[in-house]
Amino acid sequence: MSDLMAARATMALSLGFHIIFACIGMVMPALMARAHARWLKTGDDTAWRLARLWMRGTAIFFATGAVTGTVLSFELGLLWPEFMRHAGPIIGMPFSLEGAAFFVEAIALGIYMYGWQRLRPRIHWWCGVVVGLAGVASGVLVVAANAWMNSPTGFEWTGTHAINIDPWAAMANAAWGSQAVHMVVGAFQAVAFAVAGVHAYLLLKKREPALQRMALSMVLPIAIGASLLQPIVGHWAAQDIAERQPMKLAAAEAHFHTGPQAPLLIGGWPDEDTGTVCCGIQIPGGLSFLAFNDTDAVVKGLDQVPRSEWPPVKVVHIAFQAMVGMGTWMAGLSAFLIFLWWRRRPLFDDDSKRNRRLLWLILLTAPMGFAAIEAGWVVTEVGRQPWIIYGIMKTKDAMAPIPGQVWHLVTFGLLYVLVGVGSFWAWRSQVQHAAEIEAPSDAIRRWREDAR
Amino acid sequence: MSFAIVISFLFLALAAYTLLGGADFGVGLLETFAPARDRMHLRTVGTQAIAPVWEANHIWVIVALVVLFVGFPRMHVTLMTTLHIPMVLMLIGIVLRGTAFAFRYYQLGAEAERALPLWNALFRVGNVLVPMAFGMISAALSQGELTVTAGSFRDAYLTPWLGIFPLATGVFVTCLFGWIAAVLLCGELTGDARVAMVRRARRWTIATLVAGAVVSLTAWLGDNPWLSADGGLLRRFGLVTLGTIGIASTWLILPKPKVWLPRILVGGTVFAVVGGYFLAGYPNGLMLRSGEALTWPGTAAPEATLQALAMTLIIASLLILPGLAWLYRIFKTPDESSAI
Repeated sequence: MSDLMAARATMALSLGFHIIFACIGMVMPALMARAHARWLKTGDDTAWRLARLWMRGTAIFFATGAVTGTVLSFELGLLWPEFMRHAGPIIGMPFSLEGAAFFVEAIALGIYMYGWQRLRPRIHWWCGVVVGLAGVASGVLVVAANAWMNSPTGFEWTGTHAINIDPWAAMANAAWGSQAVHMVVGAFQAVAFAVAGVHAYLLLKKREPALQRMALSMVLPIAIGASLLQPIVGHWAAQDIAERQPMKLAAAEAHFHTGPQAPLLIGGWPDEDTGTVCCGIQIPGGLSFLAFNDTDAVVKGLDQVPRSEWPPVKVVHIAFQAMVGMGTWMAGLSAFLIFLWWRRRPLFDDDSKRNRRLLWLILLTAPMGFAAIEAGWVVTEVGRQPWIIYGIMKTKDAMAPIPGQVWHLVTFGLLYVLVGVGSFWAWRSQVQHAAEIEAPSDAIRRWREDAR
Repeated sequence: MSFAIVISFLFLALAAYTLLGGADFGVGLLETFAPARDRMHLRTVGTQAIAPVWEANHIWVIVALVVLFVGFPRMHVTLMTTLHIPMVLMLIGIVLRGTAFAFRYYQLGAEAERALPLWNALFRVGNVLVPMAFGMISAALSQGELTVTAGSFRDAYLTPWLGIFPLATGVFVTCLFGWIAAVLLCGELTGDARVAMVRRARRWTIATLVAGAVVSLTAWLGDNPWLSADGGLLRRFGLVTLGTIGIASTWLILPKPKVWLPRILVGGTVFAVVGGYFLAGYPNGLMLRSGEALTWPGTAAPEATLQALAMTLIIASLLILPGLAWLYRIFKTPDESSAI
């Protein structure tokens, strides 16, 4: 494996790994705060236990997310020093603001986790809310840095270095809006479906049905809302890309030849050498319509740039299809769930065959949100190749000079396996022992009531 | 003006990480280097002391890194390129310590008992790896061995940090972290636990003083450029001397069961040691084998970036410092500190 491929693989692995924990850090606090709010309002023991369970989930995944995020921030310089030499001063604002948001998140989480009974209940609850808000803020901010790589602005490039740097303009780059919204909605979708899957499984196993039903009633609306919103946001993101990074869209759609009435390709196996696609379904004018709201619009194909500047078409196309396919499935399931809920609420009230089938469907869908996020990041990152800063600097020119980068890949690969297994293991043990989460003590009950 | 603000925050973040992150790693070091029969007790004490605050303490290293790469891009790039390997070692340590700490705390049931030896081992490895690498990196920056135009792998990526002086500095930072934790815990514990901790703190004090002496000796023998740099003796050695006095004076204050005195002493000492290091080199931040030195003013980012960064840092600290103060007030006020 070449050093370039090894460095790219290490970065992809680190990002792909961290993003799971980052998303959980963005969404899990919201779930925890929701259950907690229910308990504050009603004093219901089940809500209290659910809030405690989700709090522990937040804590486990936050610990892993914090350290894997640290690895990423160091890897920027360790793997791509030439990129950081130029990009650091330009995109520093989102990074430093993200650091600040992360700091707030860590402080609020510490106060929330260990502050039961030490603060007034309402203030304590707000600390939990702040954990989630700061988590979302840091996600949105760090996406600004990535968006800048797709849509570099806020400087003038002399050919060797940047002059007239305006860090605020770089932060407010054109790609930020759609990318950030797409990411946040995707995070809510992925985490809500994954959590729904866990509780659907436990309900199927008939373990503490009351707790699982309450959990499902809290996460499913979030999963459904995000899944129905995401196709609209995704469409916005795709139109953004059609305008600013036409080659990324061309690779995603395996669209080789520039022309009007570009077809929308579903499935298919692109052949980069011949510029053809085998075995896909083509909807005439579909791509032109989706990209520019006009079936006759000209959509740029990969023939616009020399072959050396093509992104790897197969990878981008397949990842894009996977993302869109899973997104469509989740949106479809969401619409179906709304329909069922409208016909016969509440859902999952008994152990009927119908309900069990529905729970299985949710369980099957549970990993899809995360899979779609991973696929989406493959589209945006691989689709930008060979550029690290779009149109300005190539990835190969940003590399570290140290040889043997494959060792990086091996080292961090092993580390992530260990940490991934450990987090999953710890979380699973928490879920398995959920029955042992005690009901609130008398002191805790008094603490809640005193404030009312 | 913005340069002064930015570099002050860089120093603040590094010193805060050494103090607070150091205390957290130190708690792990106390456990690591204690006899097997005391480990369980030290684990409980340590977990109680750091559980609410360690995540926040950890963020200081990210703040330092971000200020470095935004404000001093060339310094950052040179550091990451030449000291690639110890940086990776430090990262491995950070990951192992943080995750193993969380896993052994949150894993339940029979599986947890089986996995515990593994998490304990990884936790201890992480706690040693970070201060060792941290110290070796700091030492390597000063000794003028870093090179960006080298021939062999060994020459470029190993020799600059694998020497007696960096190793001694790594050991010193390890001892310093253990010392910070032991002294702070003396302030927080009561009764027999406190008596045992005082004994432990004395041992760490001696170890830190000895390691510090070895660092000075090896720096002097190795003709460390920062020892012969321009500038008055006071600037170069004043703060370091103060730090040494600080460490030595633990002896006097340990018998008194005070909470705040150890904190003031440890805080002041760490700021003196890190400040002494910073000032000994200033304006240089990093010395290359070619004789060139990268200076802080010389590697600073363009003014527009420095201004934006300075503004962000000030606004963010208005948000974060009160938050941190609140966090510490809740969990580190006497009488309440030990109950989770």
